[in-house]
Amino acid sequence: MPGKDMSPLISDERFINYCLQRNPVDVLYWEDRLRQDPELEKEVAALKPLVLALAGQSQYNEAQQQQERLRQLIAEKEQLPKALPSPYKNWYRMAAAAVVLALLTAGIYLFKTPARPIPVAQQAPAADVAPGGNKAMLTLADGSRIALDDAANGKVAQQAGVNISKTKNGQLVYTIDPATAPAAAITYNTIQTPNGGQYQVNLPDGSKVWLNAASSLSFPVAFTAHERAVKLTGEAYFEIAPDGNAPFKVTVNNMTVQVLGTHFNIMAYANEKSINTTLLEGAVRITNEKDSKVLSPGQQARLTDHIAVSDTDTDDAVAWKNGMTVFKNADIQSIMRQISRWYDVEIEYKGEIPERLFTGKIPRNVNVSKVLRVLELSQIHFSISGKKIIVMP
Amino acid sequence: MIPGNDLKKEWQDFATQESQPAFYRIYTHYYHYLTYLGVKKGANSELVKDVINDVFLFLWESRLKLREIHHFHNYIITIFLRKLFRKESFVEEVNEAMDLPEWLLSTSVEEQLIDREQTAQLSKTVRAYIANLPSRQQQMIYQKFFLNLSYPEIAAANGVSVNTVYNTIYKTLDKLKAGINKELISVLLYVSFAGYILFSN
Repeated sequence: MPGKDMSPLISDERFINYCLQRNPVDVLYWEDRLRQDPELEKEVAALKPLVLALAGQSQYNEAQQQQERLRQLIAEKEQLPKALPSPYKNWYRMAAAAVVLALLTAGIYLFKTPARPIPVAQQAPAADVAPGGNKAMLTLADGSRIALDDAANGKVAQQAGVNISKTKNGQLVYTIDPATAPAAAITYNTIQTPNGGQYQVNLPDGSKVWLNAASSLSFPVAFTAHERAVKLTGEAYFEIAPDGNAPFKVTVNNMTVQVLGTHFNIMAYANEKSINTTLLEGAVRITNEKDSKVLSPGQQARLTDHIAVSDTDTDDAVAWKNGMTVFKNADIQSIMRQISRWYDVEIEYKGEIPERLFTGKIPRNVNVSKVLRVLELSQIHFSISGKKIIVMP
Repeated sequence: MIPGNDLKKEWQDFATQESQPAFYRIYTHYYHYLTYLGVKKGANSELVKDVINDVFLFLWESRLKLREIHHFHNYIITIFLRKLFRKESFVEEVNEAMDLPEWLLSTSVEEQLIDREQTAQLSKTVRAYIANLPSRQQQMIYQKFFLNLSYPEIAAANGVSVNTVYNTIYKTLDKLKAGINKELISVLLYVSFAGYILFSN
């Protein structure tokens, strides 16, 4: 039988209908044909059980896989809303909730472990990468550098007119010290997070900035009376204290975001396609050399060669600050870029990765294998070696 | 056959008692139905998959409000098409959807296929074979052998050429045919080898 050409059979759409006994007209047509051609009948007799098995198993496989995804979506939806009610008021409570949630969600994933093999988890239990944490480097005006993850809590440095102290939860606080004289000239500090680091800075005017991984913020040690200007690379969420006299200005490359008092997020990683500014409260104006747009709450501006404004889900844009990684219709490459920043890993692609769009939410404080396991439900596979993740079809 | 008639009891159980097994039975049936409909209408396979899960996530979340909905078949198709094409009105399309083949409307079609005329060994071989394929190929096999969509329809839905689909289907049958013969041969070899050991002792 090998070597027989099956083309005439499989190019005939009635043939599958005949095998599956689906359409009486097609069944009769084929029964008739086979009566006249005993050679063909033999071949069909061999092929028919295969066609039936393929139909049965493929539909079973497909429905099971999709049902698994739906169960996961439902489980996520039902776990998450509890964290959302008081989004930006209490950062510590949020963080605590995120930890609890992460444990819950991780628990669900563990219990829901599907029967089919999971390469990442089973092949090499030791190969895993811990999530990022509160890590940053502070560079003072005189060029001295302080690693904030090692520094003890309490006062970190004192500069002309300002005290800098570190609190326990990855937070750096600038306070004006009335006992010392303010500096004559504006001096700048820079706080920089590595891959796998995040940090919060409370500026001397009461504004708060959360820095995501692989980001930096340069700011004057003390703001002048008329302007509050900072420079950003990477991603940060801002809660700006209102001050009608001194507008706050964030510069990213050649884009500026000008605000009075407001909450917004800027995502400006160099390897992402656009710079996204998302406004949660208040109003901001976004300007580059060609264009200028005003955002209202709930809107996002995407800057490429021009500025495009659209409505967006602001929770997604600041999910990272609330301890979650969120992606909506994201391709695997953009998800892996996020993973590489937060887990400080290198990503390598092997073979042709199926083009799929992912939607999902994963806590930021789980090991990378948990994240990969969720992605593996969609037929993409990973292996971890040291600080490198290999993505395979 | 009245569309959705078979699942009346499941819908009742789901909408009044929040029954999960009933919900997933409805899901499994409509997964095939909506995939067929979506691909026939020229939508991309991956989008269709995501939209189906979207529809059922929505149904699950609004389960307490669904008691009043009796024509759930039309309801499910309407929200599916709305979400798929991001349009508001779909009266025409829902009527058109009624022209889908009869076999798709019958809920027993899934069970019928699994056991009918199949030996357990063949099912196992085929299942293992499918599980080891890349997901796009799994999908094309499903779309051809179960849904029996046409080659051009499958090609369009997966963004590949008609030739690619055809080759995938041909190779699948060819390899499985060869594999099944090989299995038989290895069983025979094993038997004769075991015999050899017995006799040489």
